[in-house]
Amino acid sequence: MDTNKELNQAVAELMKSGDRQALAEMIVEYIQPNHITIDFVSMLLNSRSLKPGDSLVKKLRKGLEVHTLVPGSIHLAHEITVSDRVNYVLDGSDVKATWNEWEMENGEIGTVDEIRTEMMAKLKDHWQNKVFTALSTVWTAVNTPSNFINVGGAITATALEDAIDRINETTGGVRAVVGSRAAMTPITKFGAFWSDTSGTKTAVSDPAVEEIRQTGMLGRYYGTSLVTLNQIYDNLEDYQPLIPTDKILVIGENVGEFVTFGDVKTKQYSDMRPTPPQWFMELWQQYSLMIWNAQGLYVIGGLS
Amino acid sequence: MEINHYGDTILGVVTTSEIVEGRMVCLTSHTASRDYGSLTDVPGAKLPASAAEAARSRYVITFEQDNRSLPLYQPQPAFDWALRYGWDQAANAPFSATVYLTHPGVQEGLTIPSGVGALAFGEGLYTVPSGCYVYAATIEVPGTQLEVAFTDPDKGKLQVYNAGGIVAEVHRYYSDGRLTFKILH
Repeated sequence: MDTNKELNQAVAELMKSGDRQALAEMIVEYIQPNHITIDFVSMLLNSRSLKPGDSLVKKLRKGLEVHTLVPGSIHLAHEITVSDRVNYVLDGSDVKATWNEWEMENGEIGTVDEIRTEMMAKLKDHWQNKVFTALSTVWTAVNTPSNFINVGGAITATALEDAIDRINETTGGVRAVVGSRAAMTPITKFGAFWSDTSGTKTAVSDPAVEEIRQTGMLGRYYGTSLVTLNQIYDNLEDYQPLIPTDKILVIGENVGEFVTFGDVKTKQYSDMRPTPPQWFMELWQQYSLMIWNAQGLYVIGGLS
Repeated sequence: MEINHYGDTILGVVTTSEIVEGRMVCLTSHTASRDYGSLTDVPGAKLPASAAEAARSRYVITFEQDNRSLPLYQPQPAFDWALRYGWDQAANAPFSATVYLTHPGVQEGLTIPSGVGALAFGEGLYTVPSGCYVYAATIEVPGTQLEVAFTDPDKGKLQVYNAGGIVAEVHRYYSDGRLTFKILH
């Protein structure tokens, strides 16, 4: 009740002062669209910021060789050799919004700051989706048979341990196992217990069982950290999940690189031809990405 | 091609074949994709192959803008992905490519490769060099109505109206063969 009273007083003061802009900002309550708050891009890819003029070529210099010393001889030299690759096809993302100035004044569509924030978030979402698309495109039974499994159901101990074994072999070790809560929770069914090979003796980790009982999650398994992500839905109307629920990622190393090319550019202007004028705001940035070490990641896919 | 006056429509498109800058194109679908899904939200552009397509070829095509350092290479070699450190695939350098010392968009009559971004200009005034249209004596007359050819080797070239769909009209003909035309709304 007190809150309502304060709100009514504030609204009344704004109406009295004639500040319609402030009033509009106050009385319009939005259910804002949601965005992915986990930075998937940097989780999987190194990132660099390039400027126009920077090289888009990667070069590798191979090592030198050592020969036996034969005193008095002219020893073999090795000319320095370089192997190079042209890596990046520059790409760009653009988000542009427009609204009538009356709509802004009456608060129908929110404030300029809110919309700019939303636009920046959409750019980031777009790049995160690039990563998700890459995950489904690159890591398949055909492309990466040693780094992919299609489970076809809930995660199993065998699938998870095989994935961790593989990443321990191909990289410096597993940094994290990452997935949505729906995909990761079944690990709690087998992660807190230990059976010998005959299956007749089972050891139970009391702290792990207690952790599962309290949180529904398990923090570590098979020597690795488990990171459980809570699902986010885009908005209350479409209600589409933003984090894939059909895969768990076993991450060993960054598998590639995401480069931005120049800064996020912006422009805003008002088209004065219509009356009231039409407002435009636009953000854009150039970027590129490449998966150049697919074996640094294991995808446990086909989860349901 | 020279842009003299453009209107509100400058569409980003994807070429579905090699197209000489300055040709008239219509919108279509395409299968190009880049960097895991880019370009898929952009319409394709094609040279008209029928009277119906010619009638809706109301866009003149040119190169997209580019801020890479010169010289430019076309095509630009790249890897989609590699299993191991980026070096387990056959080298993509050295490579064979067309080298541009000046951005092709500020030159005239060069060919836009297939499957890349390009700009489709709608209503406005544009000047194309000789060879970008089908000559007839009446094309030198301002106000002459123009349609788009849809048969080889003139696909996408403007020509004097002959029972097709009128998409443009002559603004000025230059003695050196350049033609300024206005794409109609």
